[in-house]
Amino acid sequence: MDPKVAIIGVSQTKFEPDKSYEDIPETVFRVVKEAMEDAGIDKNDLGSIVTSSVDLWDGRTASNQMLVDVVGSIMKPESRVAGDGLGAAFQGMMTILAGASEITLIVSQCRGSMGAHYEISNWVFDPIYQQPLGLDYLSAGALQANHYMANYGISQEDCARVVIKNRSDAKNNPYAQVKNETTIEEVMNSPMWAYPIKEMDAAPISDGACAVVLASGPRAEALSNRAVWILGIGSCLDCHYLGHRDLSGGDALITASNRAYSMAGISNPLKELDVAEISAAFSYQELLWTELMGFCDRGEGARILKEGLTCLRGLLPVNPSGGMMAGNPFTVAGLTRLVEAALQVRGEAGDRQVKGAAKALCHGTTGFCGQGQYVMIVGN
Amino acid sequence: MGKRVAIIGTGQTNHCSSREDVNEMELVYEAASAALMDAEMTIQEIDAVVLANMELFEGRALPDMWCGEGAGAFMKHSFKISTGGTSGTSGAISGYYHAASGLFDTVMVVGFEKHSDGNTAAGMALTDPFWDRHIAAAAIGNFALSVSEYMADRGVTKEQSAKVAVKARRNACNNPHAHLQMPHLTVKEVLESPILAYPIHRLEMCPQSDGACAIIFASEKIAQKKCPRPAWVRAAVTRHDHIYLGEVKHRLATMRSLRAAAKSAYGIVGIREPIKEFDVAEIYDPLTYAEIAWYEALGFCRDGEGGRLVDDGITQMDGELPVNPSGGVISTNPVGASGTIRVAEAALQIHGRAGKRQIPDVNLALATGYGVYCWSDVIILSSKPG
Amino acid sequence: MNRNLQQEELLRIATQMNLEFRFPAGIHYERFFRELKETGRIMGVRCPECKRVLVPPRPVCGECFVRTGEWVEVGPEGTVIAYTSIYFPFIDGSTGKPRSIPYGAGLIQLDGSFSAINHILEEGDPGKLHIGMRVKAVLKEEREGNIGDILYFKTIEPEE
Repeated sequence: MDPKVAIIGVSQTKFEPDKSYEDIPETVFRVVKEAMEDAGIDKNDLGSIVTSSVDLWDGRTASNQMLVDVVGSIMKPESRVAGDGLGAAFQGMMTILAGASEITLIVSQCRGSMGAHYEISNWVFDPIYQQPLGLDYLSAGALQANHYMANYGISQEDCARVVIKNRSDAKNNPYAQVKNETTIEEVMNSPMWAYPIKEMDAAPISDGACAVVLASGPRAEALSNRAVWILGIGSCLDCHYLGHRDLSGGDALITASNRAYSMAGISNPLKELDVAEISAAFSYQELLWTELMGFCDRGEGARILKEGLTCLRGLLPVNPSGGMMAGNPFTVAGLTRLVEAALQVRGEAGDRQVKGAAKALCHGTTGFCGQGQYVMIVGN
Repeated sequence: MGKRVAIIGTGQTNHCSSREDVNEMELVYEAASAALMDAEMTIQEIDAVVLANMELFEGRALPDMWCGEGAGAFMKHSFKISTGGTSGTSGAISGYYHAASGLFDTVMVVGFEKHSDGNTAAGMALTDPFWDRHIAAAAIGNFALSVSEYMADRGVTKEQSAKVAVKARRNACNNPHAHLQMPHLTVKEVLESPILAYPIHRLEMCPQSDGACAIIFASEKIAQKKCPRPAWVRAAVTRHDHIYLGEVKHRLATMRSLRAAAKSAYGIVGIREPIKEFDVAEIYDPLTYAEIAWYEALGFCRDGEGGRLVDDGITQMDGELPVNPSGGVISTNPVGASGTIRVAEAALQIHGRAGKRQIPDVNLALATGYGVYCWSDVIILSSKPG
Repeated sequence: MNRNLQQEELLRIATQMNLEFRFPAGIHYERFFRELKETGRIMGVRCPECKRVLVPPRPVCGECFVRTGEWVEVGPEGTVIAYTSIYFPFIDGSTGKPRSIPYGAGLIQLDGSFSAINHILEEGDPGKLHIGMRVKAVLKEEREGNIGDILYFKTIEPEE
């Protein structure tokens, strides 16, 4: 990569079920100012801005319009990626690598409280074969969960362990929305939403925003002694129709991870990564994604969790922040994972800090059942 | 600037008001296949795909998830750029950045829109829920407001505006892809067409079209190998500005973001007299008055002389600086693709593959994007890598 | 592509979007509409740096990138800086239905405000509208706390 690219500023809001006490520009301004302060820059330093948001979730066309005042884009270049915030970070990296900007601000926001998340998600499905069936992210996730669990003999209790781990870890995360500890029994008794996904298996729908400041190598070195370097990136899009995909597989995530590992010079992720922040909207996804990212063999995601390898004190802690279970404002999720990964590498993750974390993976996804996958490796 | 990048192939569908025979993914596929054929490449040779589209106009969310495969994005790095009318140029610039980054050797950008699938007027009405929606005037009403200001600012006349419409729709007749091809259109007909929002007549506004446009960006080593006359990207500049109409006084006359983007882009390439140095310009003209205003903002003439440029035929096909030989947005407007089409048409001119709309000896071409009241993109392409 | 389809064979699948949204107004819109409803005053906020009064009021002045400050009453009179008359029945995004045409619309520079506001003009005949004419906000009797509480702006300048 030439030049090198680093993260020099990060910020996130507390994730809450309803932030209606303030309007969206207010929330975003605060998170932008904090990230810029963290980076030690002001608006004049910004070479480019990339936002991430989706019109239909915002209930408004060209919805990034409403952020113009607060992301510093008056008379500057701004672009908007309509998808996960980590995708916006990729676009931001391109502005720097292309030499168009030395400092790029990435911002993502979403208010789950404004609309009906799952109902809106029906509009992502193609209008010919899938949308008319009334599919949404939940029912599609349930299809994938059943396929995966049947293929590898994963039980609902195995998935419940993901919820327990994440909720427990979220206690250490001051930004988390959901942090009350729970038990397998409680998860199993929570209302069934779409078999086998129960209410507690699903990440909460939240309001929130986060921001990241990227800088080119020389500027990063000049501005910050806490720069976190991007060591590798990989992204991949699977096909759209559920019936065309291997729902227990997911070549997209395997490919995206391998691309990132290859760039970062990683051959054994379980040993070489110190922490992973991954985007799993449902409990089964965390198990499945860890397998597809090569942390273990296929079908072994539940085992490595049960054996504690992916717990906070384990060999490769997964989602010490609580992940999306701690708060899930849709497109913000992947960018929040980047924020958390950067905090870990800096040693600034407070009570959720993984000791000695020097190399972290963060992950985001767009579409349903992980159709679009983004993986980034960051480190010292 | 990053690595050198050129456009080595383009493809478009035949734009029209409604493509009943294809769904949106198939529309995207048509454009992408045409671009691959133009560049004599296979989809395996493409490293990444950037899509550009305004989803709410078609009543969709994340259409790149469905249509990405049509652009060959399967198993590739891909995402969608969505920035109003500038989506197409923003998407093109993103594709350029990807190729200039050194991480991807070839990048396909596909701008697309299938207006007939959705309800564009309803989509456009979904502005600030507290402030704008009650006016119910959509883009045309807002343009009309700006036009009343502009006519007072610069003395542009209705006849001059109508001449721009005539130029556009007649130029479109040389473009097999263009939507509104009107070989016999006259100034009189334009001014007698129904008024949509005073003083804008129907024939002065852009249509809504179903269409897609694909561009292939390539790194230097691929471009040299694959393309006999690559269209090198010499500058790509974006500027955004306020979105409250009431805060951008004299919007068309000033168009701060376009002026600033042009100044920056011209500075990068070293252009001092655009009208002399550019051989062709494909500018984003959502309506006739805007095209005249952009002449001034882009420095083709002094402020107040935009109308004279029209009257003197300077921007006709045989003029000093042909503007929109393709027919422009006034003739063809699939919103997500309109900006991409400007870049593609500028590239075609340099490639020498613009058929009947080819301007002779094109070495330097300008493409611009416009959207959301005050957002601007300026892209400069050249036959020389610089 | 060789498609041998008859026009009548082509299939269209109709779907309807019915989605409800609850938009957070925030303290700025909230106060703007509360004042409009309860006292009939139109309010803006002043940027402490550039000193411009912005309407609608908002948390941040985009030009200066700082938080806005004091609240200032503006209007109810103002000057038309741009105008049009709408002849096409576009959908009113707040009701889902078209307005009755033709109707006048304009950018009205409220007295005391930097921003002009985009609103309906009572006068719908473009022949009777011009830049620089003076208008005044006409409010609803029973107000609800939304932008429709201002019915329209009526001409207050005598015609020539």
